[in-house]
Amino acid sequence: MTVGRLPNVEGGIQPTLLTTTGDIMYASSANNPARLGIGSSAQVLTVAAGIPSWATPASGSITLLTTTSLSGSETLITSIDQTYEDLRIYVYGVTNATANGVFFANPRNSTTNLDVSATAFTGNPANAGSYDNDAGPRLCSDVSQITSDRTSAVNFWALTIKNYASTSQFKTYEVAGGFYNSATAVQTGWNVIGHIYSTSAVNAMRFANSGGNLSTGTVEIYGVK
Amino acid sequence: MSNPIIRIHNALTNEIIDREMTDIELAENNAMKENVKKEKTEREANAVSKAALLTRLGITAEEAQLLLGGN
Repeated sequence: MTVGRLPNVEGGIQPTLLTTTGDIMYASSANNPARLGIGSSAQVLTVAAGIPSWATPASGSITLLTTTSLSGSETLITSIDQTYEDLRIYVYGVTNATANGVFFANPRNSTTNLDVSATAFTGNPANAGSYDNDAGPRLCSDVSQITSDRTSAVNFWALTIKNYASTSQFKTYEVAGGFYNSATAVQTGWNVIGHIYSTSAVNAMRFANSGGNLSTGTVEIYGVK
Repeated sequence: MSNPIIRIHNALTNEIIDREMTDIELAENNAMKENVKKEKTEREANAVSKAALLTRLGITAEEAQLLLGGN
């Protein structure tokens, strides 16, 4: 008898039933153990014809990929899952240590910032503006005389990047959010739409504030099918 | 003098590293700040020029917008 294995007796289940890492065991019928081989990446366990099986999730689902606390002079989020249609990124509770500044969210391919253009709309049309550079979507902008109060954590942004994993298309993005305006001392809406002028996939994001170190803030990245 | 700290969060492994920036990363970070300062300077200069022009023309900003067909 091999050490670590059950003798071949009625009611015993041989460990050799499970042949591959990630395999799971189920009953294919009463008193009949069976093996379900590991599924593919991002598949989910479901039931079909009365037995468990792995299946690709239906479209329309949204999955939390990672949650990051902002810190340091800048924060990079790398190795973002490339198996979804769109990225939805929530940023909130952001403060920084030194001064009011422009808060950037740069889409990246590894260590390279990807070129973007943008048109910004705010609660005050007079402060709307546009820019075209490689500085990334701005979650608030000194250019439009709209700067988030660095000490107020009452802020929230939702950034959506369409087709982020594409290696053949430019991508569109949209920012919708609001923050406490340091100049007018009121909550201010902030919307940005634009393009990422690159066929490289977005597999990383960089967050930085020109005013100084990031003190607090949370980034949640979701994959959307 | 040590460089500022950068946080790197690997979304795949969930590993978080806080380390000093490399000189290249620091240069990029400084370029971002310089770019923002430059934009601010240009914007302030444009505002001064605009105000001076309006004074010379003897009209308000709203009147100028009307002349240009703005809403």
